[in-house]
Amino acid sequence: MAVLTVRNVRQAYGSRTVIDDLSFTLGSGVHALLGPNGAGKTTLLRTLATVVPPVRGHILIDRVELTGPTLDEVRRRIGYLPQNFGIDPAMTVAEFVYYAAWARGVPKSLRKAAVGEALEKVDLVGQRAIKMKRLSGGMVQRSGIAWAIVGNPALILLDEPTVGLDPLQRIQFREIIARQRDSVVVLSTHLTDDADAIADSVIVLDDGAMRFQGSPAELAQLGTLESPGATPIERGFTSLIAIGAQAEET
Amino acid sequence: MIGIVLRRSPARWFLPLGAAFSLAVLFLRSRYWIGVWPQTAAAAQIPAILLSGLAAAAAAWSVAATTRFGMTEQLRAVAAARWRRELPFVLVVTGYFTGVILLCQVSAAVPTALTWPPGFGLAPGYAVMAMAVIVLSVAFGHLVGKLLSGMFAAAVAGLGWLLIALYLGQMLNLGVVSGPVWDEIDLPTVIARLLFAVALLALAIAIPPQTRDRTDRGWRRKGTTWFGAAALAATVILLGVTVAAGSPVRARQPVASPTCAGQTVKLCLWPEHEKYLPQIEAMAARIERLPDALAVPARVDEYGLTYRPSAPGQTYIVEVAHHSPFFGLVEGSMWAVAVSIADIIGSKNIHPCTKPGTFKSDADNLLAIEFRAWIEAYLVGGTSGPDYHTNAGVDSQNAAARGVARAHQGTAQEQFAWALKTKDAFNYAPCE
Repeated sequence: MAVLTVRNVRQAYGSRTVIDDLSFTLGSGVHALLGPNGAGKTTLLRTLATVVPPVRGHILIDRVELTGPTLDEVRRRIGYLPQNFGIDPAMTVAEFVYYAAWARGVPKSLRKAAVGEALEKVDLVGQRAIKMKRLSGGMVQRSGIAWAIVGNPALILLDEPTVGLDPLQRIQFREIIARQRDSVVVLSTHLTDDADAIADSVIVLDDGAMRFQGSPAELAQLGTLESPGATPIERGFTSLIAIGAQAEET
Repeated sequence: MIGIVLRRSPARWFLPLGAAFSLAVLFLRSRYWIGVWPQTAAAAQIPAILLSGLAAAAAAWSVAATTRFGMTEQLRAVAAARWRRELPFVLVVTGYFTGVILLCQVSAAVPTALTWPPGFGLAPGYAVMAMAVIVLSVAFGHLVGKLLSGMFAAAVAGLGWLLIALYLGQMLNLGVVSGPVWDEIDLPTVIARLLFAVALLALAIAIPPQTRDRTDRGWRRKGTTWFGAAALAATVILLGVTVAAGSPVRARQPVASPTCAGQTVKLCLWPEHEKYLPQIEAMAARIERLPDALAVPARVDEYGLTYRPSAPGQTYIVEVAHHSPFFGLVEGSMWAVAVSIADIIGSKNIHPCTKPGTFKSDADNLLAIEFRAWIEAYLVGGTSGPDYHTNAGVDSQNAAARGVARAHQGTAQEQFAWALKTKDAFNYAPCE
């Protein structure tokens, strides 16, 4: 079982604190990271992805602490898909995923099998020889997920992966992510129904601080504000954010 | 990974085009180099200079691809260090271009190898020189691609490199347009240059790109720091060595046993020019057939064989005390040889004045020009006009044309009779 431990992490850009004293532990499963725009979701994901070192605090993946000397070891356990990820249009789907496996340090002897497995999980085996530039938007997104999951990393970080997908593609995406429950999947999203549909747990981040950690059902129970047409989890989320804003005002 | 980059690099389109262009430059420009090793390798090295701008552009384009495709962010989180990720792309660009240059060298070597003349040892220096130009241009392009990282990086790198090559080309002999047998490429110097190019390329890989988000702090990676420090140190040291070594083109030492033609008049060649021996033998025989009353030198050496003036490349040379006079065999031209030897024979027979332009009267000067032109045309067999042009006055050109025509017309006895009569006439002509 994979474990992600975040302890007293602070992240800042210059003098501006974006994440302050954040601590949580996540086990294997899908975890949704919810929060309004500017809450610090992307910054947290980038920090967990080792793109930027934290100003303070500790991050451990499977009990290996992220430090300079362990950086490569930790990175081998991380699959990261930023919101606006890029593709090499000249590569085929298989080559694109192979590139990820090579860059992540998947051993050469395992690389081909890892690519095949990743493509199978995202249902792109039939398209493996097609060039990236010829793929539809949904297929590009699935290729991106294959980029993140190839080699079965312990920690999979997906930043707004359903943005731009049509409803059918979002359902497909949820099915794919559901197959990754052996890893710690952190899914940053502003779409609460994605969280409701696939997440085992939810973290709500607001203004750089954690407001909630629990199951989607527990978040839904927090819903006190009436909002016509809102789903229970949306009501829970908006109530939580509203309470936080009120507390700040007082 | 290199296999994927090889298959997907835009530079792959370059391979057939570059090869066709290089072979066209090699075989369609001239073929005098076939049969002479240093000329063969030098001719095959010329496409490297022409393609180096393209190599710089390709390197810049290649390194900027990650940014262009928006893959920077996702690659920041991978285990492979940046230099390791860049390496396949650099190797592929370098490989494609050096592949074309090697193909050029091999294609050029095949026709020369059929006769296997002496002097193969003079060829590798030119091949290394070509490699150094390609690796240097790739290093430059890689640097530009990292510093600019934009769409214009390739254009800036390509044009920038061509400007640098034009400037450095003259200063350091980045490339040569010909490989005369009297020169050689100093192998340690070009190897040092190639190593400098490799070190510069390593440094270009180690330097961080300018695309980093300014709000980002990076992880300190010891390995990368060491790699960069080692590349910087190697670059600085090898730059010093390369600059101190200067131009790799060196004058060759005279050889102990040159290849000579003729009996009473010896015309001696560098051994590497053995393919010209039949023509030089024919020329020596023509000199020996000249009437005894016309003075001829006992021996004429090819340029640099026994004596080398301070001005390299000079072909208009008359006799030098204590040395055999010499001729220049430039790009296989027998006319160039004839020009030099005609100068020598002319100076021995145009007395008491020494050469055209030293007589008091214009008529005598024009006669001296005609005499000299006749010797030139006679030496090459009187079969065709000279393959060089002159901007001399109309009278002088007409006089030269008369001399050349004289070698075409009439029997040898008639020509010799005219030559002797003209020589006598010079004896009574007043000098300036």
